[in-house]
Amino acid sequence: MLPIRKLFFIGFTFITLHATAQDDLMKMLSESGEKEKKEEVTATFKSTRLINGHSVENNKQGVLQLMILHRFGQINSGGYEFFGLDNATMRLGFDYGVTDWLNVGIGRSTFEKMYDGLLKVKFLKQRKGGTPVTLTAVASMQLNSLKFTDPQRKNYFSSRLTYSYQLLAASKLSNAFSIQLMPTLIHRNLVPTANEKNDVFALGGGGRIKISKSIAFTAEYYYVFPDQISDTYKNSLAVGFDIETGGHVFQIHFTNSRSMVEKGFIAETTGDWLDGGIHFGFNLNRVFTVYYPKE
Amino acid sequence: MKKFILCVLITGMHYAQAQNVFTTNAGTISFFSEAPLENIDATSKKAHCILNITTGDIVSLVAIRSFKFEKALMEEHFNEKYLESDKYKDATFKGKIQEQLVIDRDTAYQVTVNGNITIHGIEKPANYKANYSFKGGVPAIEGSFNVALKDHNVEIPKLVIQNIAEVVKVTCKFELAPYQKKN
Repeated sequence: MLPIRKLFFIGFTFITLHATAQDDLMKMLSESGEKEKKEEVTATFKSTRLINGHSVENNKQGVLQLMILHRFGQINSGGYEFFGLDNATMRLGFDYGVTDWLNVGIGRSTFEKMYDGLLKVKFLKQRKGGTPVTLTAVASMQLNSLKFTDPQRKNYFSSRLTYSYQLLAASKLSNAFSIQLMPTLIHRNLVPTANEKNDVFALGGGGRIKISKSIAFTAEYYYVFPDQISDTYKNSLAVGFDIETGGHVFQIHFTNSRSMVEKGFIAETTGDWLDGGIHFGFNLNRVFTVYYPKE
Repeated sequence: MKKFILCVLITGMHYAQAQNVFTTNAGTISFFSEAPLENIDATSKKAHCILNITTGDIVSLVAIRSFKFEKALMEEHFNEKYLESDKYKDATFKGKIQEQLVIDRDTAYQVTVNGNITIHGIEKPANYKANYSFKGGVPAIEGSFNVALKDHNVEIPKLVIQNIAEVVKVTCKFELAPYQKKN
């Protein structure tokens, strides 16, 4: 009996030894490897814009993003206007990644002959099992270059300027689902009537759900706190899709806002979703790597 | 008691093996995809490899996130859409070199490695030719092989079929050093 048992035992030990030789090596590998930092969460959104407003995403260093944005007229404008499509406004813009955390951008909109410039700083990154949110701050300035409506009165250059400041907090809750909050302050140097405030506070919220690897559904809403702007203005609501194809991201959407700069879509939205005051629009984003950073 | 001694002996053998073990965590793995519209290449210089020079057992592991691309967006899509590195963190290879490995003189010759490669969570048998060399007391392994994306369920959307090759060429280079256990 004994020898057989012994053989059995020895045989068994050798079998386990053999079977685990490579697994042991694997274990030794993981023991010798240094502990890595908690991984950064990437691709919270597909584009630097959620729809009208910014997302927390920045272009990486050396990446130039060309944006061609269109908003058509209101869908309820009827068949004569081809449901708004006859009446397009656009914004042409460039965003550039100076570093991974700092983006600068410029743009020009046909609506209000508007120039705009922006600075965008991503200063906190969400990490797996660590920091729960990505935080990005955006400051932008808009210059309305339309001729002054009343040339008789003394007009100041500063009257053309508006500013917007946003803190964006986003969290990629799962691979497919990301949410974002956007507390916003808009400062207008000149307002139409004394009843309207120069400073307008708003809170935005939005998110995206990926439908497939390349397509995501997006939504964005800005709530303007009461008694700051004229009652004729509405809160901005937009829903759309992001379609990503390699170097391009197409964003198509419906929104009640016409303007593509913060002071416009947050504080001067006139369309009403309930009676068809909706604009069809798209953002076309193309990125070019113009500078290859050294490692 | 005898069994106990036997166990100790066998465990001892295990540890003794460590002297025959060579490793690196700074190996190079790169891949190259050639497609009509663009060529894509990416390199990781943080590939891990460990080799038991007596048995020929070899294991390699590379974090998908450690691959660096020339274009930042490609890197993002590689991780997010194709290799899904949040779910499948690493690519691994476990195998055995069939030939006896020479360690008593400087040499270089071709060897056959048989094993399994796991990419994107899908394990496939893999038999490769590689070059083994031994110089100045340390071994090195070098080789290249092809990986078909569909073998590992890496889907290429039709929209970018002109941009990404269906079979990519992978090149590895490991210069190994004696294994040292870290405490």
